[in-house]
Amino acid sequence: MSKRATLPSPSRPRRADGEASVAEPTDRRLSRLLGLLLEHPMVVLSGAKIARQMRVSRSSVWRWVEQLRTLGVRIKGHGRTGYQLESMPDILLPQILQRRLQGISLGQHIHHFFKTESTNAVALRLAAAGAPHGTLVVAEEQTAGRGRLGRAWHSEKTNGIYCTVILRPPLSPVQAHLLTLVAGLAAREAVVEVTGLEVDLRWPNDLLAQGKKFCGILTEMQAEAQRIRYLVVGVGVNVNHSKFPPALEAIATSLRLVGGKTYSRLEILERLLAAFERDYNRLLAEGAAPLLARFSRFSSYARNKHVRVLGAREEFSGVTAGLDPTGCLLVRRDADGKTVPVLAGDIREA
Amino acid sequence: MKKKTPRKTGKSRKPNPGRESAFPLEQVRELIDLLEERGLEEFEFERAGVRIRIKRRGAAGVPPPVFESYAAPEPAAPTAPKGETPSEEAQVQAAAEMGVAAEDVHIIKSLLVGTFYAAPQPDAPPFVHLGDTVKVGQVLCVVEAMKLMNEIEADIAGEIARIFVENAQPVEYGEPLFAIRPGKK
Repeated sequence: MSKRATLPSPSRPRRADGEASVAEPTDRRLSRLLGLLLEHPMVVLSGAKIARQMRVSRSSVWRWVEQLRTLGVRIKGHGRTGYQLESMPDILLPQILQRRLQGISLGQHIHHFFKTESTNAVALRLAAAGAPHGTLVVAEEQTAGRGRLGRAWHSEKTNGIYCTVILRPPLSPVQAHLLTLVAGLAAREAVVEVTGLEVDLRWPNDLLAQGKKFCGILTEMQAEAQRIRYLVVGVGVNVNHSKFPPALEAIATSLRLVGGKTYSRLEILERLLAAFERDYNRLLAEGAAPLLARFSRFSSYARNKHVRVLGAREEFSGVTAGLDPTGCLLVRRDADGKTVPVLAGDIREA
Repeated sequence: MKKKTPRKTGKSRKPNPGRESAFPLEQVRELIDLLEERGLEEFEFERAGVRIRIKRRGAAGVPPPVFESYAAPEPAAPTAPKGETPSEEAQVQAAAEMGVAAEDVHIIKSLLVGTFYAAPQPDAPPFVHLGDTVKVGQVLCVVEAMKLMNEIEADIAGEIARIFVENAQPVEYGEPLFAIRPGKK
């Protein structure tokens, strides 16, 4: 059980081939510093001692401590007196996360970033370089978090879960979209278990609370005719955001805004991965039918919902009429009463 | 790529139930599986005067494998390709229009049933235009099915000789998307 994925080597960022951001040196140092503090939770560590262990100057240590503080890690003390963790931080570090993921194969290899462009972009590069099934990429902050069709995903520092799982499933490419349902159901289950909030699923895999979206999932695939090379499933969950930019206020929310308190991202992510793994295995063993049944159970959008379908080409309204055996949403068009399968596009409550 | 052989594979050798023949159907199936597993294109085998030749016809010719461990078969995969493949027709047609042999045209097909996007986002310029020269690995388009985005890359270098579909158009599994005229070596 290695702490880091083997590819590409995190110790030597290569700048020439554009992989530099896969292993950000500052990130690794912040991780090491936090790791040191975590190993000695009851002890005050002097700045000099930390500096010696990390082979850096004391002023660097001070700078990184300040950086950790801006990330919400509560650290007591200063350079002269030494440093000590005040409380267990809710940071998705491999050292902390891996301890919670025992017995789960997803997340055996974790790449953690304090800041990166997009966990999907990093995961795609890692997967292309051969990263194994189950490799997890997590970031505290994304500078270019992305959604469908080049849309941005608001990825505020440390308040959300921004992660991507690399999968190498033994499925044919035409079945791959079923995994997007698996991911949505897993995220729903994790959030409900941890928060107890009422959560709805909007086809295919948006999570809503009080009618607003707090979780989005973007899956990207590389495949050959008969075989999936790899899939990256990116999940963004707004957990502890206290507000959103005006442009998003009407459509976005966070678990904190809905539940009135903050929640542990570690706990949600841990459960999400466990549920994902279980349902993924179930899909391989039992096929699509049970998965589609579960989706219909947990989504108010599956049946008898008046919706607008915003396709790339056309827009229409209609009433949902369940899923077809391939997972497409069936919608009975208002205009002509015909039931049509929807395979791609945005669904909005009408 | 290669010429189509009118001779059929072992599967349809004889109308009779195949059990008495030198090659039980079961064995032929195993051979086909082996071909699939190893990713071989073609396989020929002779024994006791019977020759079996199994050849893959590329993506559209062979239905994708279903879940191996399905307890009961169910229609999980969207429309499996059937009959004559659109991409073969497209290849012949495109080649005829370009005045070259079908072998000299490379067809890029859709791996999904989904929506075809020519550009990374609605207001962006398309990934490629007709007549562009593309490199191996260059992104040509995206096909989406239920928020699963499949970036399709060129698997051969050359010139975009034809674009078969329009932006935002629904596409079928195995449907031809682009014709590439391979670059000269």
